[in-house]
Amino acid sequence: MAVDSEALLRVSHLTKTYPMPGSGFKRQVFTAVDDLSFEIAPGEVYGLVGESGSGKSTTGRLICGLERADSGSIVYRGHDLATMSERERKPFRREIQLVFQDSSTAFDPRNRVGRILEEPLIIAGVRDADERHGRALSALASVGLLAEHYDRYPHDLSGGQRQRLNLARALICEPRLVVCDEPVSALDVSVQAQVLNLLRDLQRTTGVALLFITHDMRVVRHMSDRIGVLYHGRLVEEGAAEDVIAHPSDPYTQELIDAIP
Amino acid sequence: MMANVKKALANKGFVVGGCIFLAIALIALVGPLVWTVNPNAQEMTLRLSAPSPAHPFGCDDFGRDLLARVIAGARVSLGVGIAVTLATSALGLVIGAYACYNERLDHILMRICDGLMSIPGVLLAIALMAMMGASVWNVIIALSIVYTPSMARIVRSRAMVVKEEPFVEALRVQGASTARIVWLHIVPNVMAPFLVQATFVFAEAVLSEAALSFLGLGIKAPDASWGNILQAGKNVMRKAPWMIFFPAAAIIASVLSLNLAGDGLRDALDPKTKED
Repeated sequence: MAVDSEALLRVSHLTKTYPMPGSGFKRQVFTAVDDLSFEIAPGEVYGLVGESGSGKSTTGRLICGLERADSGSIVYRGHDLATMSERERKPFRREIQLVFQDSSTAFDPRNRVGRILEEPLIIAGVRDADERHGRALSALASVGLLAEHYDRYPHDLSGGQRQRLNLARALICEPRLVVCDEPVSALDVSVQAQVLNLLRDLQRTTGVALLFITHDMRVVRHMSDRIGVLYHGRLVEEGAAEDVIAHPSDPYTQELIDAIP
Repeated sequence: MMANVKKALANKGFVVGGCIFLAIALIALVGPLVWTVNPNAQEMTLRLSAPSPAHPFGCDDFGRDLLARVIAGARVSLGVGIAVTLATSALGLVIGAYACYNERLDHILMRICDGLMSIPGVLLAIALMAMMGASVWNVIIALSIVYTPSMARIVRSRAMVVKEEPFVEALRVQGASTARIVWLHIVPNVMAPFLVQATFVFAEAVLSEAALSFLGLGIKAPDASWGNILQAGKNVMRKAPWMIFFPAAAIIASVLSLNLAGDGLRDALDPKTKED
């Protein structure tokens, strides 16, 4: 099991169910994630593909600790995050970050860009205000934003700029894994490519691993080293990105590929 | 924030209501320095005398100057209003903000609030005053108990919405503590409905204090309060209508101006009227 020791994140038999609304006494449940297992190596870009409702966002939220799994394990560098208490989990928080789909609600509307970028540093215990300021400015520069954006409010920025800010915030504490949940699907097509290229560049220079969640096969092909295809909460196919797209073995994967215009 | 201030100042109701209320507050504050007549000095020969240049509001049934008494009453009424608003605001913020973060606490606190809110406010205040005895401090305590649940409810319902926003989840992913999220991010984002409710609580507290004093459960004679001047005036309503008119006008002006300001503030801070 050489792969095991290499894995940054190993998800095994992960299951998450939600009670169905209005099911009364029958206690019906909706299984969002069903016995899901996969691994992400350090510095790897893993694409998780599936249509909406396939459980891909729930998987991301489970890994980020926004939801609790019903069963299964999420082993991050030898520690099982799924069974940890909030307190035990805290030191691992900043190593796994999340980029949201909708950048218009991803920031406190009352905070300026500078504060948005410095808050993760404050939480991480960076006491020196000058250091925080410097790191915020270099984070802005690294995503192609300007120093003058530091004093702006997020609603003063365009959608593309906000998503760049989102990336900057996720990366400012130098995480080892970033979960990107449909990071470009809310953007114009012309802006999508820019943000994706930026993300790819940042990934290469920082060596951060990405869990790239999307419904768009084109995007995932452009981004990922490996792909997992999710269907009704189950992994139906997994493999190197080129192989899966060239020779899909599952009919559902074929459907997703056929959907590429 | 500045945009909100600008929007509020562009709202006619808020500006008019706010100005009237500030004028009343100013009179309460500096009135006794300008009109230096002792509100408790009795002059039996002037009993129920009509308004005159020496006594612009007339005199009451003990020959006390009504203008001085209405000003003294303003200090009591607005003082009670401020104290009740501050107490309910502080309690409401803490209860509302933490209730949305702890399910069990939420259930307990909200059922207590339900219980308190199911009793009509003035009735509950009367019961509390009967238990504790009449005094200014007890009026403040009783009215704070009466108005805290509605404040907590409003803070909680807004906080519940803010808590589900992705930016709060982003903070959780960053490892922010609950206290940091609640005080630095949720509380500032519930300020709009909170401030609106605070102005309404202020208005209701002024009204309820008058009601309690009118019923003899609030401010005790000889100290003046708009409510107990009305109470004394109701017996001599035909002979000396000014005893009813001036304190009633003071109550109406302050409650109306506060409600006007609160309505204006609500319109100005309503996100639906935001253009961005």
